[in-house]
Amino acid sequence: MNDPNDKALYGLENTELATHSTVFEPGLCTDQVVLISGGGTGIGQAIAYLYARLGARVIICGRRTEPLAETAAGIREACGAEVITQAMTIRDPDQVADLLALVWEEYGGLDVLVNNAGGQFAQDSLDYSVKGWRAVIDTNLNGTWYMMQQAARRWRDAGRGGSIVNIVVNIHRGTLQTTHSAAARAGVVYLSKSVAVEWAPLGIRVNCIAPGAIASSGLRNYRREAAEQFRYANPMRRAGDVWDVAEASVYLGSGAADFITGEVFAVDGGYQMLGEIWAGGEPEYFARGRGAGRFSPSEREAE
Amino acid sequence: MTELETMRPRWGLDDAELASYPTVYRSDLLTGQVALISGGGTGLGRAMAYLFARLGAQVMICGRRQEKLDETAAGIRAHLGREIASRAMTIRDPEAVAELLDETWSRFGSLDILVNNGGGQFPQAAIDFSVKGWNAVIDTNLNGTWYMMQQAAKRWREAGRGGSIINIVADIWRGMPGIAHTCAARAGVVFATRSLAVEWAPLQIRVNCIAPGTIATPGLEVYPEEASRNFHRANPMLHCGDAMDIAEAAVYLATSSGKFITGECLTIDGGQQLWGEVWPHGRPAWFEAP
Repeated sequence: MNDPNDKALYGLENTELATHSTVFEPGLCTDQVVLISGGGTGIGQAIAYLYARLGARVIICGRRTEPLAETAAGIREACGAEVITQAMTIRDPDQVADLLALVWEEYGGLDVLVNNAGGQFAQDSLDYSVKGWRAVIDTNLNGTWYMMQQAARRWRDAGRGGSIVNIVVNIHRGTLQTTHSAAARAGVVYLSKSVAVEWAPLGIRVNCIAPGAIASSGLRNYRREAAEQFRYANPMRRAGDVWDVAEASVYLGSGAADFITGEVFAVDGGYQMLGEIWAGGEPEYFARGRGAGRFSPSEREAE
Repeated sequence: MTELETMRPRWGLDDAELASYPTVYRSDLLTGQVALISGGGTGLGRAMAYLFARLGAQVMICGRRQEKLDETAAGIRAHLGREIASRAMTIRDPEAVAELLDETWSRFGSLDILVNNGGGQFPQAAIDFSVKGWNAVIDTNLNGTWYMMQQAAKRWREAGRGGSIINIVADIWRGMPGIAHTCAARAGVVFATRSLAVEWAPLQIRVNCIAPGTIATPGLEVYPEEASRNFHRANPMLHCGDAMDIAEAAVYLATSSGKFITGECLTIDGGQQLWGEVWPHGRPAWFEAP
């Protein structure tokens, strides 16, 4: 990387994922089978590294072969673990069924499903095309649902339970210039709460993680000037790192969380209370009056 | 043993189980950390004292009864070979809170983690609450927690360093019929937490809550047997959680895994916020199926 600022923006590199210290006991996930969507890049990649380092048998999927292969190679080098990769899209229910079949064929079961795949593009909502809207709903909401249902059916048929962790977005105050994503992620949150109850008899736990601004390669999808501001959008005034989300995923998937279901865990530096993320850049309207001084302390004193 | 006693289940993990229960964390995770845990003599507080000590922390517990605190300390000595400190006091008294913080600081030279677990309530129909009873629950659960938070934060500010606060609250999200006073007090703590998380972010102080659902601890014995017989039906998992569920969450939020988490309330309730009913005072006939 040429610009030192890239680090603050795009986060930990693969070599760091290989060695970053973790709170968990070595071997915690030994013999566990974990499927991670969007596992080739960003947050999903960090989740794959952490699970593999803790001894899990990891399968990652994603649309592009190349990042999946790179992640698998990096993990092999980091801890000698072999990661299975599958290039596919979660938007296609048949491909999802094939993926789950592969997991069962290779490992005979599944313990944790991490639905991390997803994405959105920054645009003023007024300008969304029908196609653009549908693409975001299809990937984030429908794709996540296909994965959840396929996993749950297989768990039911196998007479065993499992754990689902959905990585969403902190939607509680809306998401600006990514309305499609707010709608889709809110759908996933309330879908999770509903099936947490419906699938409790099957021993299936379903939880969400709602990250705030996380320094990851995912931010490359945004205009740099906009993305540069994301990290100030919480009271801590800094971005989280992909490890924060990876450790939360392991926690919720582990025995420590065996009494947690239907919950949304915000890992956001307090963004749910304070801070603004303008995915496409702050409109002039909201900048109006900032720093104008009418109510600055010095002026108040003068009055 | 009386017939009643033999009929009743034993609630929760015993000391030997707390000392040996498997944990997800690496064994040296809290080495060098100082943790203050209120209500550390019993139940969840005792479980947290065990886990924090097991992971290497220096632990100070407080609570109203010295005898219970001594039991926890003696158990940790016997099972884990570690010494912890204790102080009998009530968090309702702001001066006693200040003295507790002073003692913790002078004994250990610092404080890293404050777990506000001290609290409690009695089940009663709200219409029958006395003023004294209402005030007692608000005073302990809300005011006492606040005194602890403010005293810790003042010392952290003076020392030019941050810290982590974890407040153990309750599963308030659909109201708590039968214990309305504690629901009000805990809701106060949850939203004080959200406010302080922002106000104290410049001081590097993180403030979070854990909202437990029905957890099997000896504390459940205060409820009428008819009520406690149905506690396991409070959530879609149809079972109670155990104290380690809460203790491991406290560690998660307190340590580096929680470094980007503030103002959050982690609900650990087997899904109770979505489905199930808890009637700590018994279920009124009105709510029976027709």
